[in-house]
Parts: sequence; structure tokens; C-alpha cells
Amino acid sequence: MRVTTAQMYNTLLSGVKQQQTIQDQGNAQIASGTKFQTPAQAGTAYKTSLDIRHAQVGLQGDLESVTTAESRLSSSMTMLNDMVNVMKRAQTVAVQMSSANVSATERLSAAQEATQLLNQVISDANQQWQGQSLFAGTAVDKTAFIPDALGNMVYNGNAQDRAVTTNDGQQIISNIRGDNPAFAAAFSALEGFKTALLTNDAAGVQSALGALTSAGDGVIGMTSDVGARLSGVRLNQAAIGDRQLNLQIQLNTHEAVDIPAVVASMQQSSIALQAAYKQISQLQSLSLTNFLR
Amino acid sequence: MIFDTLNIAASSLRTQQKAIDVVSHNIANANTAGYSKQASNISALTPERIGNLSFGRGVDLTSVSRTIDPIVDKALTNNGSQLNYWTTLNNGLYSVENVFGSLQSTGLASALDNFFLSWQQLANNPQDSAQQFNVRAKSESVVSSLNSMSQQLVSTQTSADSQISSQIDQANQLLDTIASLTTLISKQENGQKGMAGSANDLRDQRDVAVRSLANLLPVQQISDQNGGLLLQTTSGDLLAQDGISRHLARGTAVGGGFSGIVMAQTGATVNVGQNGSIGGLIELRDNKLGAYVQQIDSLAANLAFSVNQIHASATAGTAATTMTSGQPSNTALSLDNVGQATIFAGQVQTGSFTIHTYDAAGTPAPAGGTAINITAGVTTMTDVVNSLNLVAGVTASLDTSNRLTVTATAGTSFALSDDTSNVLAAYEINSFFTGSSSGTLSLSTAIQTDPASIHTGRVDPLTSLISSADNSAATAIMQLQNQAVAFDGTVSSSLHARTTTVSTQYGNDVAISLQQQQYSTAEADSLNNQRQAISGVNTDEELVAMIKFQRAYEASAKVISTTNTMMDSLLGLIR
Repeated sequence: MRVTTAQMYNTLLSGVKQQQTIQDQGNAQIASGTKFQTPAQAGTAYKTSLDIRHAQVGLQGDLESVTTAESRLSSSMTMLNDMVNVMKRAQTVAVQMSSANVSATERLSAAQEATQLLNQVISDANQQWQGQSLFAGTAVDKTAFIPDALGNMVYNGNAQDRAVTTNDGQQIISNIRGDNPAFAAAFSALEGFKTALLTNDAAGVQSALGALTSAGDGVIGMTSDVGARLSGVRLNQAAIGDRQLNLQIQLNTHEAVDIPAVVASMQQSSIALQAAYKQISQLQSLSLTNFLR
Repeated sequence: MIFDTLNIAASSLRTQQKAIDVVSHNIANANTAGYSKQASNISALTPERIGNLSFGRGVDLTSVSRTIDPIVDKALTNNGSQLNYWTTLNNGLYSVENVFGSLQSTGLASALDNFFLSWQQLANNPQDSAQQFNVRAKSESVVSSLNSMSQQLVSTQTSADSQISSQIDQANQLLDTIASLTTLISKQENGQKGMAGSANDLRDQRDVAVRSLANLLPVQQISDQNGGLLLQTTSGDLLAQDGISRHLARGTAVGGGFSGIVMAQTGATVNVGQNGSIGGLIELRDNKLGAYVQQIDSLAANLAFSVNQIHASATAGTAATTMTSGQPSNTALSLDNVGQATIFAGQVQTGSFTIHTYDAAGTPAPAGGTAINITAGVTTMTDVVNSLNLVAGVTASLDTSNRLTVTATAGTSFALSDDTSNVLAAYEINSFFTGSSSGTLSLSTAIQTDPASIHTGRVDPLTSLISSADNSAATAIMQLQNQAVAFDGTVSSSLHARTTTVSTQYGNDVAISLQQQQYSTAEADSLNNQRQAISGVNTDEELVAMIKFQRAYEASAKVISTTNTMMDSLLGLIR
């Protein structure tokens, strides 16, 4: 094929443009540390990145939800543990006061302690976390238990559980509601115990011991329930942590550029580019014009 | 005879001189775009017969011809259309690259992810005012992303449309130039009968003009022997014939959209297809940017309606004292009539919503609220107003633009719930968003003013009680992100999928246009090489030819000099 001078220049120029494109792409990859940056560079791969990031944000939200549930359940657990201790102490006092040898004065004195124990249980049951009632359901702005006209503690919250939800639709109940019969049983048992002590009713104290034991078991049951849920929530937290780690690895594998490979490619391209420049500068000397006098 | 020698040598001097002129012209135009190498066609003059002998009479330049290959030229013209189509499309797509974000700032995708994350965080602590502010901020970010994307895409569409007008003007100028050059070629070549192809430079210029025209829009050309040329569009509309050109013009815009291209004289629509830069601009404007705008509009519509559907039936920790609908209604039409201003009128169906009223102490009266019934095809906004006015504790009215306003009487409050008719969401009553497209989407005025107006819970349908930590509505909105929804007649798809689809489609469009551009560029390089090989000027060749003609000229001059000496010798005999 016949070749003209313009063709030779054009061929070299075309090569220079190609190598410059390689250099530019390499520089962008090295500067960003990623294989691509925009959807224009890699449409489908960019979508995968968005999907992974979407999943990451979802997990971040899930972790926050689960952590909220964990905090709420931990606070409930603390209060319930305190209630368990109170109930145990009440049972101990009841055993001591159920003896026929205990005097009326001693029972009156024990009634003081029983009153304090009752107040402690009420205080635990009305405990707030971050300004919200722990055991009032979703009516967190209300005191969970208030005295009725007869002075009995009654539930003032609602029947709706507080739940957090994860992105896969899993609902985690993060509270114990005050309408659980164990609360009423605890109040009632302590109230009965106090009355028996105040009236120096040995048989009543004996009877209260049974009620206290039963109510204590109820509180322990709630504590176990919360403990089991806490374990589940903590397992959930760990699983989310693992999934976050996996996603991060997946994202790095998907996006991160192989820098040595890019540098090698750029080096190769750089040599080709320099050769093309050299050749262009030599072309001008390869003309008949230079040899005509 | 001695004078014949002089005449022959003189003819050679003239011919070699003209041939060197052609060489000089070639060298001068070595870098002229579209120039075709010219060649001197030299032939011996008709011989003279004297007796039995035939004597040559010298030499003459019979013609100067250009060297072209019509097949390569036609391929270049077609390639120019393709290359310019894909280059224009690719450049146009790159100009909106920032609209679709990058890994460092994924734009709409991350804004939407963060929007739903903020709802999840609010669901964890519904009564936390900091989380309410966070939801408002993240919602504003989504709105801002969509508004900005819409603005940039529509602006680029408008810019492409302006470029189409400008390129039509260029095409019309080129058509005039082609017609004018055709007239000149015909005049020049018809004035030199038997010298076909003598208007070489004019033909080159016309070829360049035709290729430039083909770069703008696809053309078909038919040449004749006398220099005439017929140009038409691919659909057969005549563009230029001999000395006459016909202009292109903009058509009439349809339905508020952009206008196409027509023949100025006949008004016939010109379909340029996937060819030329005008074709690229039309494809960019209507089928690429138009599709992206449609997709983000659909995303905005589905986001707005799906969130509003939940939000309108939900409540904040406290009841409201007044509400105004974001959309007006035509009271002569039923609420589900598609002639209503709201694009979601079609979503209204037979059903009801409940209004709960509360006294000054916050006690529901009556417990369970009052149902407002909606019957598709029957109920108008006036009927709704009348039904609401029957509820103790609230008054309802329509303002001058027929927007519904519900107001609690002094000391009382109210809340809405359980809308199975979709009328609340469709008319933006108690809504989170207003607007139904990427360009018009906004947060409701109530939420812009006070984030405490963000609804996270629902009224208890039996007791009408409102629980401050009820997060059922916030949770339902949070879960929307991965639910497939379609409230605008599009294929059902999740909001996240809609976001990634538009980015992916854009990425694929860029990849295809880039691939086709690279293919067309490679083809153009090859064709240009072929044209250069046939029609290009090789300066070395020209210099060698110049030396040959120079030597012939010198030799002829020597013949004259020798002949002159011979003449002197002859005259010396006479003296």
C-alpha cells in the first residue's frame, strides 16, 4: 500500500493518544485506589458497589437497633435483678418472722423493712432509662405503676411492646411490660407481708412467705426471659459484626485496584509513549527535502 | 525541420512547467483536509507524417486529474455519520456524569440509604427530637439530590435542543455551499468539453462539504457525469439538486416536549435515526436524558406516595390542631377521577379514613373515632368536607384553590388514621412529602417548620389513644426501602433498585456509546489511511516528480540551446 507522510504522522499520533489514555486511567486508579470511580467507567460494577454499600448502611442501622434493644434489655435486667434481690430478702425476713418465738415488737420493726422493700420494688418497677419508663410499654412518658384509690399499685402503661426492627424484618422486643402478672404478684406479696407484720399475724406471715416465694419465682422468670433475650441480641450483634466485616472484605475485593499491575501497565505504556515521541521527532529528518541542495 | 525541433522543445518547456505547477499545487495542499492528489496527464502530440515517415511534434499536458476512490469516499461519508452520532452521544452522556455520583460520593443512592437509616434510628427512639431533626435533614438531602438531578438533566436536555437548532443552521449553510459548488463545477466542466474532471479542487471542496453535512445528518448522494449532484435524506426527502438547496427546520413541539426536524418547505418529518451528530443529540435529549428524567421522576413519585401513604395515617406523639392538603381538588369531579390535578388520583379507591378528636385534657371523644367513607367514582372533596363537618370538635373547609383545611375547635385536637381509601396520601393531607416528580418533590411545610410533626406511631383504632413511643409507622416507612412498589404505572420495583437501575442504565449507555465510538474511530482511522494511500500527497513522491520534470525542462532547454547553435552554424554558411 502506498504510504504518505501524513499517514505516518497519523499512525504515530493515534498510538500516542492510546498510550495517553492508558496513562490517564492508570493515574486515576492509583490516585483513587479503586478500579473505577463512576458509573460511566463501569456500570454494572458500580451497581454492585451501590448494593454492597446499601447492605452496609442497612447493617449499620441494624447494629444500632440491636444495640438499642441490648441497652434497654440490660437496664431492665438491672432493675429485675434488684427486684429479685429484694424478693429474696423479703423471703428471708419472712422465714425469720414466721417463727412463733418472734415478738410483736420485732414484727413491727420488720414491717419497717418490708415497707422499704416494697418501696424499692415500686421504684425498680417505675425505673426510667433515658427519661423513658422501662416497663410502661410504649407509653414511656407515663409512670409505669401508680397507686389506685385503695393504695394498690396498678399498671399505668399500655399493652404495646417496644420493639426494634432490622432490615430483614426481624422484630426484637426490647422491653418487659408492667402488665406481666409477676409485677402485680410482687407488689401484692410484699403488701400482704407488710400487713401481716403490722398486725403481728404469724399465720399471715407464714402465708405471705408462700406468696413471696411464688412472686420471687415470677420475677426470676422475667429475669430469665430478659437474660435469654439479651443472649439472643448479643449473638445478633456478633453476627452483624461478622457480616459487616465480610461486606467490607467484599467491597475491598470488588473495588480496590491492583496497584502493581497498574504500575506495570503504565510503565509499559510509558515506554511505548516515549518511543512514539522519539519516532515523531525522527520523521522530519526522513524526508527527501533534507537531501536536496 | 530545424524549426520543428525548436517547437518540440518549446512544447516540452511549456508542458514540464505546467507539470511542475501541478507538483507545486500538490505540495502546497499536502495538509489540506479533503484534498485529493492531482496528476498531470502528459501525452505526445499527434505526429506529422512526411513521406513514409512519421515525426513526433512534441508533448502537451492533456488534463489534470484528481486521484480518488469513490468507494472509500462513500464509506468515509457513512463512517462520519456514525462516528459523529456516537461521539456526540458519548460526550453528552459524559457531560451529566456528575449527576450520577461516584464512589466517593454516591449521590442519590447514599442519600436514599441515609434517609431510610434515619427512619430506622427514629424508630429506635421515636420521641427523640434529635432523631426527628436527623430524619428531616436526611429527607432534605434526598429531596435536594432529586431536585438537583432533575435540574441538571433537564438543563442538559435544553442545551442539546439548542445545539440541534444550531446544527440545523450549519446543515442549511452546508446545503447552500454544496448547491453553489455544484453550479460552479457544472459551469467550469461544461465550458471545457472533453476535459472531464478539470474542476478538481471544487469537487474536493464539495466532497468535504458533503462529508461535513453527513457528520450532522445521514445523506444519500447520487452524482452524474456532468458534475451534477443529488442529495437526499435517508427517508428520501430532497436536500439539494444541482444548484438548488432545500432547508431543514424545527418542527412543532408536541405536548410540551421538544420538537423534531422537518423539511422547511413541505413540513415533512425528517427521521435521522442513529446517524450524525443531530441524531446523537436527539437520542441524547429524548431517549437517554429523557429516560433518566422519567426514571428519577418515577422514583420520586413512588417514594412520595409510599411514604405519604403510611405517614398520612400515622401520628406524632401529640394530636394536631390544623391540617391543610397539599393538592387542590376539582369539586366537580370525584376524588379518584384522573382529571384531578394530583397524579395519584387514580390510587383513590373505595374505603375510609378515621378522624379521632380529643378534648382539652387529651381524652378521646368518642373512643375509636369517626369513619369518613369514600366511594370511588362518587365522593368529591365537598362530600369529604361535609362529612368532616359532622364530626364534633373539627371544622373543614376548602380554600380559594380548593385545598382542604381541617381545624380543631378551640381547646380540642384531632388525629387521622386507617386510611384504606388512599385519599389522604393522594391529596397530601397529613403527608410527609409534597410533589410527585424529581423536580417538584419537597418536604411538607409542617415538617419543614417543625420536625416534631414527623409521625412515628399510629392511633389505637379502638381507644384512639396515642402512645409517645409507638414506632409502628416509622418502622413501616423504614421497611419501604426494600419493598417493591409501583404507584405510577411503572413495573413494580424497590426504591433502592430504582436508584441503582438508573445509575446502571447510565453506565451501560456510556459503555455502549464509548465502545461504538471507539469502533467508529478505528474504522475512520482505517478509512482515512486508505484515502491517504490513494488520494494523499506524498512529498517525497512529489519531489522526485519535480526533479524529473526539472530535468526534462533542462534537457529541453539544452535542445533549444543546441538548436540555436545549429541555427548559428547554418546562418554562418550563408555569410
